Amino acid sequence: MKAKWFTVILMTWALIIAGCTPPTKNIDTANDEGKAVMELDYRDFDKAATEMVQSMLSSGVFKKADGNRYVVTTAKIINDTMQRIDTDQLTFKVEQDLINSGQVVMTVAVGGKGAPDQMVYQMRDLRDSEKSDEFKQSTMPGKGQIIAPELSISGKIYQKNIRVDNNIQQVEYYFQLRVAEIATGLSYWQKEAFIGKRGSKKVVPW
Amino acid sequence: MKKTAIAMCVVALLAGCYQAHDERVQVAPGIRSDSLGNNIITRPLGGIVSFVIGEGIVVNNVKEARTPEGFLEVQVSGVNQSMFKKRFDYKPEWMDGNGMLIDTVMSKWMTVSVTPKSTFTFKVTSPTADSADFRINTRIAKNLDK
Repeated sequence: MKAKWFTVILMTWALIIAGCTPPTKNIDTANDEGKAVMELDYRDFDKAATEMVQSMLSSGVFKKADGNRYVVTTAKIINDTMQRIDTDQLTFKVEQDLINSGQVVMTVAVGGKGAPDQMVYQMRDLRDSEKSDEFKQSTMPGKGQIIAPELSISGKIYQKNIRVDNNIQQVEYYFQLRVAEIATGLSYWQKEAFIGKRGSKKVVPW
Repeated sequence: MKKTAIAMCVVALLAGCYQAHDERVQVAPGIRSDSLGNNIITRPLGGIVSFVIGEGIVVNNVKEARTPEGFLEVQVSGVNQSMFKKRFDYKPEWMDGNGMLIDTVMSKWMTVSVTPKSTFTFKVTSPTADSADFRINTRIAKNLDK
């Protein structure tokens, strides 16, 4: 009898616990009504990328005098925040729209974190190895074919925490990007996008 | 005669030292000199009226231009007619020559905050030179304080 009662209580408790757990939902990214968070979330990266791309395209920085397209690489983007951020969250979006704009060509042979596509070099290593014979030689990449980048995109994301009062803190995020010509080292464009958040001091923004 | 003089004094007081200025410079209520329609007595009343009749954002100018690279630039200007700050989000969508939607990072909700009785302007740039048309959707921006 005791065991029966124990089972009933256990099952009731399990039902209560299950009822209290918020259900998992997919985010409606087209109309996300979710509350703001102290950390950087996808909406912040979207906003920063939109501002950056819009400014780059309207500035005319990618207009080449001879009418051709610039070859561009993404150099180092420093994460100077307290969060573990993959800076590709920003640069991938920016690169995507720059390529789609038809104004530039991005190279994957060089980049701030090394070549974004290692296959460029793996195929060359294969070409120079014994296994090269396994490939049809006319389909192998030849020497002196990689195009060097002319422009480079570099930047930094940094965070500043400010105590407003005993309960409130302000977290400031600065997204900085610049476009420079590699041959001359001259910077042709730069922009800072700012995202500020104010909230409870108890929330740790990392 | 006495009543007229008192009435004229009240009118003069309410009107303050208001002087018409260049309309390109927006001077917010409470900062600019008082006028007959906008003074310490009428302002609270104006706020109530503004709320009741539902004054808000009015878009009064949309300009289009092409950059030298061929990108379509759209500038939207308007005015916040209400006595309260208005915040809204906008999202541009771009269409190519065939009316097909162009996929872009730039079609994201961006926020505009407009002070009471003030104008606003924002500019959007198309993602490609092929963009032929656009649509801009808006929604009420969430209260930042909540």
